[in-house]
Amino acid sequence: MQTLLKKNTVFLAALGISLAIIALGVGSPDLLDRISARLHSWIINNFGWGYLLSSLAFLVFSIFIAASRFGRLKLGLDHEKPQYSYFGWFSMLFAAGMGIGLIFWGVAEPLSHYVQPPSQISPRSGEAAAFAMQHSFFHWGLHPWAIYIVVSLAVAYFSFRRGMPPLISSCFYPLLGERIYGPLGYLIDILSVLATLFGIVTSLGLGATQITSGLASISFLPDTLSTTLGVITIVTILFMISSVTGLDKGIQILSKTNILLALLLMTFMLIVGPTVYIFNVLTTTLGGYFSSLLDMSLSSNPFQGYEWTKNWTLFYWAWWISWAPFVGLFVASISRGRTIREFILGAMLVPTLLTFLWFSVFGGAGLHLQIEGNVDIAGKVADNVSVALFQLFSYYPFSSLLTLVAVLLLMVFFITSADSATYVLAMMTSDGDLRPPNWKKITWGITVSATACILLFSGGLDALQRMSITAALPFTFIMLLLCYCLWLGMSYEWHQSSTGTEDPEQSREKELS
Amino acid sequence: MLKNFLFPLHPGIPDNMIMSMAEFIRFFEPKKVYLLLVVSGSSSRHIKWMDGIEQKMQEIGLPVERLLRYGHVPSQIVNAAKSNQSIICFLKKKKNPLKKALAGSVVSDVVRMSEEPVLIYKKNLPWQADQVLHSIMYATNFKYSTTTCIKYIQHKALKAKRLILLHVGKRAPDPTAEKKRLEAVHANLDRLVSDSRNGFEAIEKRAVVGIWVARKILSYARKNEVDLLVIGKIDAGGFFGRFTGGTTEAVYNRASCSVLIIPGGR
Repeated sequence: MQTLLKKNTVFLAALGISLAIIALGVGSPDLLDRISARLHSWIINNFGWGYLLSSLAFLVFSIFIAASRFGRLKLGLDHEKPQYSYFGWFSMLFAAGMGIGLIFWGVAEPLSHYVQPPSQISPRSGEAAAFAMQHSFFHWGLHPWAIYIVVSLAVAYFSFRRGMPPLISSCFYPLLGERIYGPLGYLIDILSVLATLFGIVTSLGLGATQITSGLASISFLPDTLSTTLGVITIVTILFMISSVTGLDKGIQILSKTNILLALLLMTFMLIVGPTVYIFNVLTTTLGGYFSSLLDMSLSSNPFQGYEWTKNWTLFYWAWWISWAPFVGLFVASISRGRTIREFILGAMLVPTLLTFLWFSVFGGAGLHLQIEGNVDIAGKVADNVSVALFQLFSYYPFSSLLTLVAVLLLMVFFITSADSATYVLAMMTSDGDLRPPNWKKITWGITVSATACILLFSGGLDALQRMSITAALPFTFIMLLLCYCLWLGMSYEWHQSSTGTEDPEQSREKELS
Repeated sequence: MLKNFLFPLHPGIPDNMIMSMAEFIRFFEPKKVYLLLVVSGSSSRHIKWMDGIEQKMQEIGLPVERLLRYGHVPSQIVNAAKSNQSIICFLKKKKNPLKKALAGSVVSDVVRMSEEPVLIYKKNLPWQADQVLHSIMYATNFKYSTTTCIKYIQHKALKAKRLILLHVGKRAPDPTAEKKRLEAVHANLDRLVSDSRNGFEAIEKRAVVGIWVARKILSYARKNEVDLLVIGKIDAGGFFGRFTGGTTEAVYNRASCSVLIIPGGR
């Protein structure tokens, strides 16, 4: 009994804390709203600069590691080959890292910035449009992937190369030693579970409302809460089926389907949309993005438009960091057998380029309608962000079909995200077991879906989102320490190989071969 | 080894401190003790002071020889030590950090440049009646321990009631590697224990895990009230190390006890 309790400490503690917070969100949504709003604004007001510096540090660290001598090390034993093909790997990376968010914000974000840029830029001007595209690239570009890479690289290195369980706490062994198996390690893992749970609940809640909006625009279904709850129920059944079939089948097949659907939708829009305009937007924004990357990375705008930075850039950075344990662990679990250089370059460049294309196509088409077509699509988006993509489709041929494909894409992304999140949650609460028991997957799956339903009903979803962003502050410190631990681990290994000392893992490899 | 000693003289150092160190050196039965004064311009007053020191040292039976040099102080000290194969003996007094930052430190420059051992004598060593120290601590990373440092510890004049062999190492990245690392550390410490039997009543070995090595060594030395700390010279490594200095520099700058620094190349 005692062993069972010890084995499930993280599971029980995380489940208990999350249920308590959720109960607060149901019982007294106002109180949760007040607490979360106060915490959130205090953190963003006081540590915004820290998020900016840390995010840039993660980007520099990732590039430095890829270019360094450590880039040659493999995430696994030296003879191992990657478990997934490039297409499967990129598909799963993209689905876990961006997924629903990109569909949600692909049109909405550039249009929102265009209408409401920082105070020093005139709204609805050419400058505002350039700013809107550049900052959409910035918020969804290299930085989020660098944040994910730090966590996933650390987890993959310490688990696949050093033979430890794939948990965030395992990465702290060089610093904490055996204490990772005690309260300190539990605390790190519980925080990771909570950040993952709250992040995925809010993301699914928002995704479900967008699916409902899409369905309402092409069918008789009303855009109401009961439809959203129905959507969540159907999707829950589907992702539970996918989840119990395992990583190799369920998530991989769904992710590949996602990418194919997304590419199909994007190609169609590129062809029927303002193709030359889109390519001009892509080229110009790429130039602006790379030439002002450092400026944007460190710009908290204390003199002008700090509110804008707080509401967008700092929100995103905190959001990506709060998602990092989930995406980090998932990406780590699919990256065994790749070299560190291949892993960093692949995970940073390919999804980023795809994201840039996505924003150029959909954001560019939206801006084209707004600026050249004299359609106030931005005004409609400002009223309801979740309808942005469907509003855009309504001005193009086959709009119902496009909406249907987009809803399908959203549902598949929804299922993939929920599937991978329950897998990661079950793994984190099973001592890093790469094949966690199904009952834990089901428990987390039901918790995620039920929480999303309840909070949509009680109105506590925004509060929960703020709570997950609050978890990003301690997690930023954890990530900075992760970089240091990773550095210590790789330096140790490099020192051993350069001085000819035998590495225990390599001797394990010899025994295996 | 431990036959010739070089005393770089500096007028600011009180005579009683110099003589206290000379008493310590006497137990090594030195073949020669060199008094070095690096001067610039008029130096008659300093030379007169040097005469007094020389006389006092001769009175306690030290075979003293005077050296007078002109030029860059650290370079002259290093050259003189090299040509006479001497251990450089410094008396370390506390220096204002601002002054040190602006004017630099002769000791730091000499430690950095020298290929000879450097003894930094910080306070009167509490000799027992039979010329035995309370405790000596040898902090080792095993790099030069067998070839170089252990020979100094084995010297017949370096006696203490207690010898502490300390290894501070960074933890390996996983428990299996850590277990192997600790096994290797203990095997090395055992070897050093058997090599250091001479002249010590008790030998303790300690393997400590730490990232800030210098801090661990210093705290361990303070906790164990060590009289003399022996350390191999490790050059500052890494990007930040080049600015902040290496472990050796941090140890001799901040240690409250005397420190013997042994260059690895010897």
